[in-house]
Amino acid sequence: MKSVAFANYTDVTLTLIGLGLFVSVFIGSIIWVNLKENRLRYEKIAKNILDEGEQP
Amino acid sequence: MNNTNSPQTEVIRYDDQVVRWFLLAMIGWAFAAFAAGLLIATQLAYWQANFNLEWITFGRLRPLHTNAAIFAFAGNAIFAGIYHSSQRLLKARMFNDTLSRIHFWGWQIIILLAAITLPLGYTQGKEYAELEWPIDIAITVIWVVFAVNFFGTLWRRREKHLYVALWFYIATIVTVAVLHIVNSLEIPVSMTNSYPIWGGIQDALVQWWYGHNAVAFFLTTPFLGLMYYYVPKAVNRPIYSYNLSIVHFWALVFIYIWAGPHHLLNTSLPEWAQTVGMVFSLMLWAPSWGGMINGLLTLRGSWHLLVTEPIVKFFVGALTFYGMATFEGPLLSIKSVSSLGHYTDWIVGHVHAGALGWNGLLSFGMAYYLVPKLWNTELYSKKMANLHFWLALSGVLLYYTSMLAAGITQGLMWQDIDASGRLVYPDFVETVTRIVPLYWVRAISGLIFFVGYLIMVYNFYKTISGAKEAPRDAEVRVPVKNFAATSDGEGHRRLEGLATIFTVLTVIAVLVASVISIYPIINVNQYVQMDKKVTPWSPLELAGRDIYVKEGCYTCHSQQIRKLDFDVVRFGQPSTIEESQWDHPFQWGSKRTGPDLSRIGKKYPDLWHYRHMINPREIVEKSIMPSYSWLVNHKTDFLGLRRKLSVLHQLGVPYDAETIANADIVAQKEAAVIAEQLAKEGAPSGLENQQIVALIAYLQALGQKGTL
Repeated sequence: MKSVAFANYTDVTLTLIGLGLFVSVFIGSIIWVNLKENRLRYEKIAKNILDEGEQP
Repeated sequence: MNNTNSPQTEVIRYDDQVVRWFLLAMIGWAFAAFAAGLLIATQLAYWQANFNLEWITFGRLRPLHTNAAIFAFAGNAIFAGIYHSSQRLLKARMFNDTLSRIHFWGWQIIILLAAITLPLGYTQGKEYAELEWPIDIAITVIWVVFAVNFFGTLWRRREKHLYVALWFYIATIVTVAVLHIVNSLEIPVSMTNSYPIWGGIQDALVQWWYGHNAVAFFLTTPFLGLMYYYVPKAVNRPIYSYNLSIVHFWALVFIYIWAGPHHLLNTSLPEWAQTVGMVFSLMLWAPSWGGMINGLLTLRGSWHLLVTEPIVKFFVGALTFYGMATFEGPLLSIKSVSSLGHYTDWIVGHVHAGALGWNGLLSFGMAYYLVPKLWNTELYSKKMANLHFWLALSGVLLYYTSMLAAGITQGLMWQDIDASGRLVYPDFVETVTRIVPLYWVRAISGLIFFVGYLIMVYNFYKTISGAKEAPRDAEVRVPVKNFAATSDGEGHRRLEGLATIFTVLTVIAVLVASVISIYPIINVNQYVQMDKKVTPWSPLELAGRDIYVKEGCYTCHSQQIRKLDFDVVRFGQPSTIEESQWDHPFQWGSKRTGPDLSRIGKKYPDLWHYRHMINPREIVEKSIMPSYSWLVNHKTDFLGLRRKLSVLHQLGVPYDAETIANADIVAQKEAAVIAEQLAKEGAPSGLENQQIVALIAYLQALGQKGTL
């Protein structure tokens, strides 16, 4: 079974699997970060690092 | 040290001492990395600079240079930046001061051991993974210490949200651990010698899965994390698009790990693996440029700082080189472009655009940002910092352009075949002497870069020595931790608050690609018809092979004839998977400063090799190869061969019990035959115990073991 699977391992299959996974992650993350509530939250978070904290 | 002053806030003190140490270590070790680089660059332009000393010959110093640049210079820069920024991003002191100090001193000892062992020739012969097994174990231990300290700090954090820089640090820590452990699986032969469990094509793919991702997860993701922290801090503006940084992270982590096979294009690696490497490399354009654009656009409205602030100059320079290198990398991964660029100095130029341009300039910018802050003083001279920037920039540009020109020139000369099907430049050395002037340009460019570095050292010396008070750790009032290590958010927001789950998802993203792309090759016997007639190296040939590895011959000679007409016409039939199946480690190489050696066996008499190793110029007048005269004086380790054959037998190399038991005797008999032949041909007599004979035995066996 395993050897048959490997014997049929082709560039087209593997590349398409990888491409499909990548496109899913890529498109998914673009949609996610552009949801309105996330966008506003991220803008706030991005400014956080400029805050060095209050000096004692 | 925590002081609770009120129920809502508390004062914490960051551990800046360890940041100062890592920063000073970065600056100090940079000297070794740059000086070694300058010396080996000079050796390629002027072979006499090898000084006929084995410890500083190119083949031994080149691994020292790359290890010093990656693990000493860049490594200490990464740790300095991570320790500094993580504490501030998490509003927490590092988890454990003792772990921080073990990490620091442990890492410096590892570097010191590398600096001692590599010139002595103790190497595994795998690029960027040359260090022998005891040091590999030490690296693993220290990396675990670092990981515990980092994740402990995440656990103790007072800031719920994990800023994107921290994601890149997490990806770095977990992925480097996986890469290092898998690629370093080896069986010791002695305290200073081992054989990797991977052999031939398996070793090639695992090595370049490691090698490529060492660039990705040691020289890219941590530096991107540093970029996402220090660029906004330097211009006092938030990152241009936090949204883009999230897409950048997941896309980069997901894709990078697949691209390793692009280092093996047109070789005997199965076509599907090459295609996967090529396609995923091309896809890297998107996230890489997304990150670069995100960094550069952070300067929107602050471009005037580029004129006045050297730190900003360094950061913009670094981002520009990041963009250039990540454009060129995928370009070089296209098979037709690779056929021109691979094995040439174009790759060397590409690597240095990344290492000096991206990693170097970013590290320098970070150092200029940190030194005044950590020592509570002002920078001694902004003018000097500006001068350093211009010297560094011109040095890198000159380096890159000279190597680009050298690589394309030599690549085209290798490819040049006339109408009758003959090579226009049949003598390999012709293609080398043509680019030697460019090697001089490269050496000068390295000197320019080095002078800039020395100016920085002087500037920092004056800055630190001129500080009016002793350095002290920063204190800050922060809210008391009032959340559990869970998040009340949703979806990705929730994920960003859950460090453990986030880390696991990152590991999955990395492992999915690794398993799909490497597992079939590890099981290569399942689907590739292996030619069992390929005989393993004889005991003496194996001893010679170990000398070949020890002297770093693979840094200049490949053992892989590609399936390209001009390679075949010049060197012979393309290499096959079967031919290197017993090679632990594989020695396909990645650079041809000298010719491919796959089929050098029996091409010339033994005396030719003897004379060539003692004085290459006696055989090839314009050769730039160092002399290896010490091989005549050093004795072959015959007694160690039994153990070596035994270890290789455990790894599946078909040695029979009798050969293993009598390995030393068999080798001595083989050596006696070659020594006698050498003496007949005019060499001195009595060489049978010397390393030169073992090496000749190995060279004469190359290409003679399999049936084509």
